[in-house]
Formats: sequence, structure tokens, C-alpha cells
Amino acid sequence: MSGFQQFASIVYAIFVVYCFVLLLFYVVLPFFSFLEVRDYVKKKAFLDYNGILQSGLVPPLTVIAPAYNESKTIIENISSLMKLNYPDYEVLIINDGSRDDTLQKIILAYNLKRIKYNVSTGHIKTQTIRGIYKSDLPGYEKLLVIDKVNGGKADALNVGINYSRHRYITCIDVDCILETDSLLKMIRHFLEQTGKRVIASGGVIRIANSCIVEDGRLVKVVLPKEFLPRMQALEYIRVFLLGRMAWSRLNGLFLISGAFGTFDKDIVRKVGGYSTKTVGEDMELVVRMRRYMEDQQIPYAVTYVPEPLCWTEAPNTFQVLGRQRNRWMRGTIETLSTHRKLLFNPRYRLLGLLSFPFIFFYEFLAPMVQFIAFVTFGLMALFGLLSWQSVLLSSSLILMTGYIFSFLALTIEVYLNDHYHERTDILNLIGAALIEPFVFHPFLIWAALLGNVDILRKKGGWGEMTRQGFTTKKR
Amino acid sequence: MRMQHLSETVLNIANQEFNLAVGALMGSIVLVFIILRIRQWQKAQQEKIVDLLNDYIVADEDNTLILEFEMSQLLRNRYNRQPLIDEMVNQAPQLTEVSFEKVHRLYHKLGLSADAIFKIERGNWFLIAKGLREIGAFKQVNHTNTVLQHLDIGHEIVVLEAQKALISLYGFKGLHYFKHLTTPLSNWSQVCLLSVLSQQISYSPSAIRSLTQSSNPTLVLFGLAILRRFELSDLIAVASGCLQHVHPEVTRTAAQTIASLRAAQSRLDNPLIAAEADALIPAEYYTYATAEDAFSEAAETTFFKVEALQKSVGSIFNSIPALLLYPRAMLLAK
Repeated sequence: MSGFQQFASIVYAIFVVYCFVLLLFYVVLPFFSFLEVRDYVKKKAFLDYNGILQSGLVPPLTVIAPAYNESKTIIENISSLMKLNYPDYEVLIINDGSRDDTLQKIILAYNLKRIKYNVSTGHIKTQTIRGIYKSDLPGYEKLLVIDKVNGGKADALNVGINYSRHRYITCIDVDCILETDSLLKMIRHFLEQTGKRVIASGGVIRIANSCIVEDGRLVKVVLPKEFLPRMQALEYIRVFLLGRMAWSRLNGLFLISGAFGTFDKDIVRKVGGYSTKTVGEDMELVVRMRRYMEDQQIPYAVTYVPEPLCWTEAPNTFQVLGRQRNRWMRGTIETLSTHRKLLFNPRYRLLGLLSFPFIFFYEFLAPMVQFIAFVTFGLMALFGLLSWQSVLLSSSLILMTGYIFSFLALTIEVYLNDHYHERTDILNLIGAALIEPFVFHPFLIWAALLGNVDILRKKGGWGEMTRQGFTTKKR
Repeated sequence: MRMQHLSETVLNIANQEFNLAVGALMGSIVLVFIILRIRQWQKAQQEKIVDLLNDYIVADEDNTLILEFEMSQLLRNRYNRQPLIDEMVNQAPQLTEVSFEKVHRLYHKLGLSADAIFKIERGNWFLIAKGLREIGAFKQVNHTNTVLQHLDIGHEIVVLEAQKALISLYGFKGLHYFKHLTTPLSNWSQVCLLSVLSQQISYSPSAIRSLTQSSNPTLVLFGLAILRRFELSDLIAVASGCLQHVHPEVTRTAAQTIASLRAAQSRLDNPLIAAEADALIPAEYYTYATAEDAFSEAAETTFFKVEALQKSVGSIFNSIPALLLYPRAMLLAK
């Protein structure tokens, strides 16, 4: 047997085992997801959010929104944040050393006045604060704008954590549109806690491209018309309704999206806030918080609201999408590297034995395995080591498993939410699911591989994320 | 050889599984459309039910009969039964007394009242909770014993629905049944119960007192939350009784409750001065790291400023909020 044959044989065996375990996940995750959806739908029938508003028992909350060069949309974004349906909350806008006129625009629009401030010691270390501003307009008392030297998103969020007055913090991307009741829905889990301490909670993020936005509020949900955002709409449905739902059921969630997540500030501060050394600060924080709770042996939960609470604009060009996915991969690798001690460590129970290995094998290794398998199988078939029939059949099976996974996610979407309810929407999403493995998925693999390369080349940073802005209703 | 064998094995498995996968794929597409169709039908029926019920509530006598007939026709499809009950239950707390009586009558006339017990007997937590909710919403006092059976044990939502039903049936007096609860009452449960309590007309001091004397600290906290929520200043002694509680959170909440009740009282007595005192909390304190830090300092400053204000006004008022905010702030600072 030649060296290549031996290598091919090993790759083939690894690939078969890998696929088998992946298939197992594809069967198990929808099962847990289904259980979670079923319970949530039942529970939802008994939820009364109006009661919360009047009770006087709702804990006050801080919304932290870092802004960097957001001049075009910042006023609309802030205006949207001021209209949330929650009895007591403050909004902290952190201007992270924007190079455009973001700060000047906010100062003018909200008549901000610079105020004196006093901060207790022992806080998370951040870049220098240049000034703190408060509005003297009636109705904007809850708005606080902090101007600081540029230090990245994580650093800006840490400033927000330092200055927040309340125990619970919601960290968001300033350009996201939140559902009016999103904070109420998020805080429910924290109020429900008795046995386990809820340390973080996340919600479903949806794609807002093509949706109609009016005065910072989403007034009509439309399935994205452009190719890439539509693909991402499907991808988000699958990730949030199948993947994260299932992990939530198992209490094994390892990621609360940076676009929208609520945290127990005590724990965030105890673990030192967001890490400024990674571009995947959202995943890293949740893993660190979980690790801390496991180390301290405190029963805890990371919860999840399976309803779309936050709408975000997805990249609509391959270039920007590539940068985003490259960054996500680098963030994953950095988290894996920082917390490598967790891998298969029984001391960390579910986190060490299931969640973390899953990140390693199916978030980090998957693009590489898929790429190597694709190339190796192609070569093997070319050199007659494998029959084309065998390659095609295996590929078709993998393809169909992916399709079934996508369609199950669509079924849950239709059952649980009422956003894409037209038959044409569903047909379009099915069409997207059928095309996805041939165009969108290979591109994501390529972007992730470039992320690996960039890590090896020690190339950091976020990369420029250009945005188009939301579709605004014409009056 | 090994390579070929592996390849053949995979090929055989793949061949067998291929048809199954195609079947599953087609099935999953069909499933999406079946669920979509069901959801659309449910939505249409729901709209129809809401319209009929709204029309019924405002209908005159002639139309009432017609609408009752229409609803009985609607119920010939058993899948409409629960949505109609759910809609009645949802609307019940918002209705005026006359409208509620009308819906109540309809509930019995359509033979829906037996459903509650039928559901509870079926044993599924979801159905039990629905049954308990119906008992509470339509004041079926004769089922009190059934409600009491679920007050402390079972699924969290069943327990909460039983507690809510008890308050719906007996108002504040229903709280007497709570004093022996052993399971902790989460903040969420307290929020939901306060919401039901806010629909009651009169309160029962003895019931609230019984909560604050419970050995379950979450019940004591709930009792204090009731005092704060409804600003029951005349029960301030009940809150004072909790200051010596062994549980530190209870002690802290009791102090806060006392301060809050006295502040509410003084707002009633001296609305102008109280408003001025409230406004004295300086804006700089917004930037404190925690609410506690900010509040303790703010309250301390406010205390002195209000003292000066008092002198300048020269009036006699014993219950100025800042005087009472001060001990609270000190407690919080600890």
C-alpha cells in the first residue's frame, strides 16, 4: 500500500467517524430542540408580561450599546432604545473613539451636557474616559453617553459595565433593532430563578434586511430579497431554533450573541468583564462565566428565549460576510486556546465533556474537515481508489441530512413564530436551503479557513463592517 | 484491501440509507407545509372567536341569542373549544362587572364549565394549569379543594396557577392559604400574584400579616412586596416586625419597605415638599457603580439638604421622606 493510499485510508476512516458523530448530533439536537419548543409553547400560554410592568418588582436594568463610527444611524438607534417597554432602565451609549461625528450628533440631538462623575475603585480596567454626558431634555433622563478613547467593542462594553448602576445588564449592538418587549422577555428568566442562579440569557437574532423600519421600530417583517441576507436568514433560523434551543435544553449554551444578551453583572465583574484580547468576546465571556460558576460549584443556568427579540442587518456582500466569518472563526480559536483546560475535563461536567468538545470539533474543526474531505475524496476518486458512485452517494447522504436539518428548522419556525407566514416566504426559504450547500456553505468554509490562516499569521482586528442601513417606510 | 473493504461497507450502508433519506427529505418538506396550513387555520379561527366574543359582550338581547347560537355552532368542531375558553379567560380580568357576568353566563350555557375539572383529572401539567386558570377566572368556588391540592407541589406553572386561582377566588383572603407553603416563591411568581392581587377591591391585613410571619423567607418578602406595591402605610408595623428577621434579605427589604411606605405617606401629606425632596438627588450620582453606592450617598446628601429645607420652611412635618431614607441608606451601605 502506497503512502498516499495509507493517508487516504486514514482520512476516510476519520471522516466516516466524524460524519457518524455529526449525524448523531443532527438527530439528537433536533430532538432536544423539539422538547424545548414544545415546553416553551405550552409555557407561553401562561405568560403575562403586562403584569410585570405594574408589579414594582422588576429589577432595573442597564442597556449598554457601544458605538463606533455610527454617525449615519446613531440618532435613530438611540431613539429606538428609548422606546423599549420596560419600567426602569438606563441606556448607556459608549462612543468608542469614533472618528466620525457620532458624538457631536448625539450631543446636538439630545442636548447633552457634560457632567461630573465619580467611579468606585476595583473596576474593570479600560481605556481613558474623555467625558460623560447627560441629556437635559425631558424623557431622556435614562440616557447616558460616555465618550472614551478607542479600545474596541469589548473595552467599550467594559466601560458600560463599570458605569452601569444596575445589577442586570443587557449588551447590544447599537445598530440592532430590539422588539419592544425584548427586555421584559429576557428578565423573566432572572426573575424565575430559585434553585439555580441565572447568569446570562440570550434571544433569537433575526435578519432585518428588507424589513420596513419606522422611527427605529420594525413595522413589517419581510424575508430578505437579496441572495446573501436570505441565505443568512435561513442560517440564523437553523442556528437559533435548532442548535441553541437544544443546547439551552441541556443547559449547555456556550454562546450568547454579542448583538443581544442579558447578564448578571455581579458574575461578569467577578470574571473580569469582556476580554479585550479576543475578537470573539461574546463566546469567550460566556465560557469564562460558566467556568467560574463550575469552579465555585454554584448551581447556575444560561437561558434562552426562543423568540426573535433582536433584528440585525446582515452583510450583503461576499467581502463583508467573509470578514465577519473570518472574525468569528478567529474568536472561536482564541476562546478554545484560552480555555483549552476545559476540553474533556470531567470537573467541568457538561461544559467540559460536551459543550466545549462540540465547539472544538464542530465549530472549529468542521471547516477544515470538510475542506480536507472534499479534496481527498476528489483525488481518491480521480486515482481510482474510490468509486465515483461511492463518493456521490456519501455526498448525497450528507447533503440530504443537511436539507432535513434545514427543513426541520423551518418547521419549528412556522410552528413557533409568525414572521414568515406566507407560502411564498416558505417556498423561498426552501429554495434557499436547496441552493445553500453549493454556494453559501463553501464560501463560509473558505472564510473560516482564512480565519485559521490569519490566526497563524497573528493577524488580528475586526475588519471593516460596512452597513447599508435599514429600509425606512416612506411617508 | 482494507481501503476497498471500508469503501464497500460505506457504499452498502449509504445505498440502504439513501432511500430512507429521500423519504425523510420529502416528509420534512411536506411537514413544513402541513404545519403552515394548521397555523393559518388556527389563526383564522382565533380571529373569528375574538370577533364573536367581542360582539357578544356588547350585543343587545336579540343579537346575544344569535351570537350564542353561532358560538355553539363553532364548538361543533372540538378544536375550537379550548381557544374559545382561552379567549374568555384572557378577557375576564379586563371586563366590567356586567360584561363579566354575561361572559360567565355564556361559559356555563355552552357547557364549558365542566372542562376545567375534566382537564385537571387528565394529569398533564399543561392541562391541569389550564383547568386551574379557568377555575380562578370564572370563580368556581366549589372547586377550592382541587385548587388547594396543587398549591405547593407539582410543576412550577401548575403551582403558580393554583396560587393565582386562589387569589382570584378569595381575593387577599386567599393569602391565608399561603402561609404553609414550603417551596420558595420566585420573583416571577410574586410578580404574577401581585398582578392578580391588583384586580382585587379590598385587602385583608390579617392575610398579609400571616405571610410576614411565615417561616418561608420568600413568603415574607412577598408580604413586604404587597405592602410596597399597594402602599399600605397603615400596615407599617407589619414591616417593622420583619426588621429582626434572621434572613438578611428580609431585613433589608423590610427597611426599604418602611422607608417606601413612609415616603408614600408623606407624599400624601406634603406633596409639594416631598417632590422637592425627591428632586434633590443630584445628577452626578448617576455615574456611581452600583445603585447601592449611589443611593446611600445621595440619601445622605438629601438628608442634610432636606433638613435645611425643613428649617427654611419652618413647618412641622415628621414624616419627611429623607429622614426615613437615611436609615435605609445606612442599611444598604452595610
